[in-house]
Amino acid sequence: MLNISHLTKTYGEKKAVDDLSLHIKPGEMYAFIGHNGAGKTTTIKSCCGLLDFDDGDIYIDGISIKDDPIECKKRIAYIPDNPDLYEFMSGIKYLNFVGDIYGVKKDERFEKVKKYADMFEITNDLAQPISSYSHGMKQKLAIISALIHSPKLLIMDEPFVGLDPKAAFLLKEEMKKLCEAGGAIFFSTHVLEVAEKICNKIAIIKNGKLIVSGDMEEVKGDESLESVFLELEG
Amino acid sequence: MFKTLLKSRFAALGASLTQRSKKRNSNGTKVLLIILFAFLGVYFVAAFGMMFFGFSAVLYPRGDGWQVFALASLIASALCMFGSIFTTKTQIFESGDNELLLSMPIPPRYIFFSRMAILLLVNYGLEALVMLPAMIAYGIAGRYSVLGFLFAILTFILIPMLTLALSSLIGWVISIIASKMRNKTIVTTILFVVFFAFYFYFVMNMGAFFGNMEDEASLDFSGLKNTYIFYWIGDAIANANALSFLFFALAAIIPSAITFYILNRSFVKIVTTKRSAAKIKYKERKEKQNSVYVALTKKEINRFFTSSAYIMNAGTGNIMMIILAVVASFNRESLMMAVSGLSSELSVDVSKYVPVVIAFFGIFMSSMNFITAPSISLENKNLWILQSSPVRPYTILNAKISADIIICTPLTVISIIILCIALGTPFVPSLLSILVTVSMVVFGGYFGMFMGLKFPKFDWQNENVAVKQGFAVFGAMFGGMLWSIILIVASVFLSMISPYLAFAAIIVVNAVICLLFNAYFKNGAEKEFRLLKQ
Repeated sequence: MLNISHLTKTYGEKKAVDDLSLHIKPGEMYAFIGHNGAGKTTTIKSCCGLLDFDDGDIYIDGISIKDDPIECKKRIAYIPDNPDLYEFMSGIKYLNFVGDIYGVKKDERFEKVKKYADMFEITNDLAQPISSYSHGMKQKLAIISALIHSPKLLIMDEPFVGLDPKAAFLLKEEMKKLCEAGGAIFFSTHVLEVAEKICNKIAIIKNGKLIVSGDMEEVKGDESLESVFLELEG
Repeated sequence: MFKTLLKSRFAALGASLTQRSKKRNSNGTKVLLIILFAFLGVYFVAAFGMMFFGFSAVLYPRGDGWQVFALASLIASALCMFGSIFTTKTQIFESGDNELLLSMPIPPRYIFFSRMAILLLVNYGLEALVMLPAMIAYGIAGRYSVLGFLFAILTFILIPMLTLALSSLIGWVISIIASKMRNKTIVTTILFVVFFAFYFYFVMNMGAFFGNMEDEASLDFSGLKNTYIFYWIGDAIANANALSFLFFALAAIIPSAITFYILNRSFVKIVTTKRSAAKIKYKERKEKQNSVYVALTKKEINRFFTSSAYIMNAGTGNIMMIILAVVASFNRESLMMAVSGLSSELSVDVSKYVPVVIAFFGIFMSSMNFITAPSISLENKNLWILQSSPVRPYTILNAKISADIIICTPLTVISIIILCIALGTPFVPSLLSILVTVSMVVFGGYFGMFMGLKFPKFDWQNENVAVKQGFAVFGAMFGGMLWSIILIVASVFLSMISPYLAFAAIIVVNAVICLLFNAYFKNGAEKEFRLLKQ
């Protein structure tokens, strides 16, 4: 589903991502962890076509993001680390805008908006301007907008930040469902307990280099993910 | 601490004037911008200088020198009010970093007065464009007494304090009214249009209010006596009347002190009180599915109409065009008389050139709209939404241009129709005037988009900065105006052969340029958009 091949991205002299390769198959939920500035966001943004990179390639469903970014983006939903949405729109207008962009049919859109808005308990706020939303509400709206077009690949940067415990639980459940339905998820997080609990794959990045990746169980063995991470980072 | 705040305000002001993006400008660009600002400053100073020199030369020998300063201070005050009334609202009460600064161990009065100091500085700059040339012109054509000159300097210091106090007060009231309304944009825009309408009414009828400017012999602004405050200024400077100066000084200092005291005392409350607007109830319903292009265009139109700052700055041409067209229709008879008077004076049938003049008016006014120019800067933190969407940048840019055309065309067409009816132009030339103006609207959309893409500004906290400042906006506005002047001058010559030839030439030239821009957006601009903000 997502094949990152020898990705290299430099900012001036600094190599933000250095020859990083990763393969995420359908059904896999991949946690991407690393310290601040390790290159997680750069990798994620490159996968979404938001950043040009110097070397390597990224394939979504076998299509190169360099050659056909539009086809790749049709298969992806991206949730950034900060849910900066169109504040001049109401929640429902934003969801309809995203629905239009991804060609979600009228009936399907109605069903999904209802389902997810009820689930995340923001139905009553959908007519309000996004500018009046709290950070958590914006995050919920960003999640709904990502889910309404049924992406094959969900890419998220710190998706749990700002969510209340119930919403975080619901998101985890939806993530599991998406993977069970044959989709794939690639997300960065600093909440190692969450990664350990819900992901079957893990990748750890340090100073732009991938230092370990693979099955969660194989990587952590009998230890906790936290101790493995601290050991590798140390 | 206050010094640090002031320094940061100055840095922000400097950056807003000279920096066009997050990247530092090259020295060459900075020098170019400084030269451009200097040119504009010199132009205004020279224009006002010549005007006041003419007035002083007539009024001083007559013993009416006070009228020069009364008029100059009136214009300077109007300019300061005009320049700061909406800026105070956004810079003081709705500034993006108010909460951040209040969370720091900084006395709120420092925050308030550091903002005031910058606004005051801007006001002094605006005042200098009028008062300095008036003072110099009077010094050359007339003569100051020592006391009069001292009063002139003190008046220069006091005027912006009074105008800033008034504009702060009005800005605060607008802010309160707008925050209580569900649709803030409409409220603010209506207030702005009302202010504009009054302003134009005042300017167009200045002669009737204050005096006569028709010829040198009858030059007279004695009506300004009725304004008291401006009369006191004139009398204090020209006649060295200490009592008049005292009256003016008290009239300026007391309200300013009270306003600044109240606003300073209530600053924290004003900026931290959340005034709740009525909650809008969500009604579940199946929304119509739009095409990608329509969705993007609707989003741009929505963006425009939900921001009063965007409407008032980038849509100025539309607002002014409709106001002036309505004013012209009310003055239909005098305009018709002017046309026939000119015809008999020149022994030429001037009426056949009226559609050309209407088209020129449309061209020039349309060039004052620059809706596409700030549209990329306004994306700023939301840019990821479009960049991660499965949509070609060409489609995105075209949707922005379409929105501009959809917003501007109806008002433009209505304004031209009003003018054509008022001036009784025949059908075909009227239709051509409309087409010419619409061609300029389309040109403005493409040109603004080009400037917006080339010079985006992403370093803003308040969206006012994105729609008012930066090279994209500046270039689109002045570039558009320059282009309209070039077209008008070229058309004057062509219309001597045939007005139809002038019309056709403008339409063809604008169409060709738009096609060239379109080709660039289709081929060269895709990557540029995709890599924005890196």
